[in-house]
Formats: sequence, C-alpha cells, structure tokens
Amino acid sequence: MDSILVRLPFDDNDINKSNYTLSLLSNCFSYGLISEKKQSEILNSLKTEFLEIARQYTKGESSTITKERGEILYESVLYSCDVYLLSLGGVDKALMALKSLPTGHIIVQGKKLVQKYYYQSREIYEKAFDNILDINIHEYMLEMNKSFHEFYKNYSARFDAKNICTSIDYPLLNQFAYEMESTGVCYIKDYYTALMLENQFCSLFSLNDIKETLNNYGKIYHCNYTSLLINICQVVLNNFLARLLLGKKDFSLKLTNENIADLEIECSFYTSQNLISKHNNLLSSCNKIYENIQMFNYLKS
Amino acid sequence: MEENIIELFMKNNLSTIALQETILKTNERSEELGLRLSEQDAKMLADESKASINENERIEINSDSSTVKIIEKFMQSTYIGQTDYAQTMAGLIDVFYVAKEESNEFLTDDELIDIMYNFFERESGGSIELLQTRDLEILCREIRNKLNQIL
Repeated sequence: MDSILVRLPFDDNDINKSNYTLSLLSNCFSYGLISEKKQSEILNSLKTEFLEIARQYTKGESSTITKERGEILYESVLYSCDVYLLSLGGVDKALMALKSLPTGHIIVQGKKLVQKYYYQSREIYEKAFDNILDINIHEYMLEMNKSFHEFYKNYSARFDAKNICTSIDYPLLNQFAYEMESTGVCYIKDYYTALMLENQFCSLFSLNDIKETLNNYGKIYHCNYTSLLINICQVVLNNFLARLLLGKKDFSLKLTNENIADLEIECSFYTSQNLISKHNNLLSSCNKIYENIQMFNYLKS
Repeated sequence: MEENIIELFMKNNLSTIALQETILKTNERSEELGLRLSEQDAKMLADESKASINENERIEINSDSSTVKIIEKFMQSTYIGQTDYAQTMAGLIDVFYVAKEESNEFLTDDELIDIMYNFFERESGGSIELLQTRDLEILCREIRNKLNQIL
C-alpha cells in the first residue's frame, strides 16, 4: 500500500468525480497500473451487468435497445462503481479496490450504498424541512416543498442513476447548484445536507431580522428580494460576520450606516486572506455555531 | 478508456457467425413450406441485421434475435415464395428496426412482429413498401400521439 502511495502518478484532483470509475480506469491504463488481464475482467464484468440491467429494463421483451438508452443504462452501472470507489476516501484506496476486488463485488457494494444514500437523503431532507425558513424566494420554496419529493418518487438508481428527476436551481452558500460535482442520489444528499445546515444556521436569527436584511439587500438592486436568485444564508452570514468584526456578538443582523463606515475602516487592516482567517476565528468563538461542528465546517468553507 | 464504451459495444457485440447458424436452422421448418435459405442468404441476412441495428442506432442486448423471429413468422406468409424469400426477409428486418424506433419502443419485439405480419397479409397485400410507408406509419403515428397525450 505504501509503495502505491509513493508511486501514484496522479492524485484525487486528476480524477473526474462525476465519472469516477472511467476516469480512474483511464488514468490507470495510461500509466500501466492495471494489467491487461484485469482490464479485461473489469470490462467484461461491466458488460455482463449492463446486459442484465438492459434485460430487466426491457423485461426480456426486446432484443435491442436504442444507443441513447444503452448509454444511460451503462452510466447507471458505472454509477454504482463510482459511489463505492468514492466512499473509500481517496484515489489510492480506490485503485487498490479496483485491482484487488472482483468488479462484480464493487458493483454490488455500490448498489447497496446507493440504496442507503437514497434513504439517508430523506432523513436529511426532513431535518432541513424542520428548520424551513418562511421566506418567499421562489426557488428556495420550490426546493424545500417540491423538488425533493419529485426526486424521491421518480428516481431510478437501476435504470437512470445520474438523473435526479427534478430541477434544482436555488444556489447554495458560495456555490451555484449546477457547480456541484456529485451526481444522482449523491447530489441530492449533498445538496440537502447543505440546505439543512444553512437552515439550521439561519434559524439562530429572528425571521423578522432576516426578512429586513433581505429587504435591504433587495433595495441595493432596486427590486423585491423575492425575485432575486440569492442564497439566504449568504446574506445572513455576511451581516452576522460584519457584526462580529465590529465586536457585536449577539444574534442580530442589523447594520446601521455608522456600522458600515466602521466596518470599512476595520476591513482596511486586513488582507483578504487574513480577513477569511479572522472570520473563521470569530465563528469559532460563537458557541452556538461551534457546538455544531458540521455547521461550523460548512460555514467556514 | 473514457471513449464511448457503447460504441465499442456496438462494434463487438453482434456475433454474425452465430446468427448465421441460427438463421440456417430455420430451414428445418421452412423447408416444409417449400422455402429454404442458402448459406449465402444466411450471411446476407445476418449482415443486414447488423447493419440495420447500427443504422438505427441500436444495441443488441440478448441473443434471442428478432431476425430469427421475423423469419419464423413470415415464412408462413402467402405472399412469399422461394424466389424472393431472402430479399423479402431482408426488407422486413429493416422495416422492423425502423418501426421499433418510430413507435417509441412502445411495442415489444413479438407484438411488433405480429402487427407487421397481420398488416403484411391484409392491408399491405404483401408489399413491404406499403407496409412501411403507409400501414406501419399510421400505427406508429397513433402510438406517438397516444404517448404524447399521456405524457
């Protein structure tokens, strides 16, 4: 294992996470890290699984399928492998698994994980819903009230694993929804985990405070905030951090013009990198936030 | 490796030699009806099947070939004789895969072959052209309309 760690000519950043298995295999073949015999075993196992899935899809009533459908089914087979290999936590461990485990075993374990994540995503969604904010931003309400149910009802890990069967547009903290690398059920799990943490954070503040802050934010753009595609947590966090920087540690969001003027002076003492460190230190000084390690790590990232 | 594995699959999957042998086995039954396919015919039909599958951008997923089913069904046709047996089968294979696509995969292989046969024997009067351009076209359009209404 140590020898693999030392000699691996690529790292996690070189592997396409939305197409993990094929990307990893491609790198391995390029660098001769997997023998031709093993390469053949892997491809034959994937083909066998694909033919079985295709047979199930057609219920044995068709001897052919369209190429387009074939690609979707094949991606679903690969998705099981992706989920399992990604769960191992590193390209070196994924490579070890590919080399030492039968591909059929990887596929089976991957399917079990996909099913587990499917049920976990529901638990996570319900936790996010427990702290739903009564704020009428259209995409936020859609994702909280409709999108997850569409996914949960229509998702088919067996025949169309990468398709989440719903539309997700509400942006997350520092990230647009479409920028997330994960796909399929992993995407839903990651997305609603983020929403759960954002809702938990925002629920520390009064709803009226949040609405007033959003109103003021909308005034900057000369429109009602409900028509803006903005992340609520981002706006709340910005004001909260600004107040922390001014030494105000309560969970209010109000910033006066005087506060803003003081803030400009305060920020002038920091480089952007130092400011980020300062913000993280200030966040960790708030017990309510620091006690929830998952939320803290999410906010500081 | 990240090249399209489906393209590789389409190139390698169809074993035409195995299909040729299965096609020739249909002679055991067709000879009772006065029809027979030569080895050359069987090769031509196997190649036609492969070409049709590729042209219609499809992938074969099991060895239970539609080609053999088409031959076994249509050998009973009153419109097919020995002189045009192989060529007619080739035409029907092509019609089958086009209709499969045009009907949005709504029909199973067996259903489509049965429908083709019934049209061929009645409305189409033994004409492959009428079968494809008129009778099946009407059916496939109805299927697509019905599916659009449902969706």
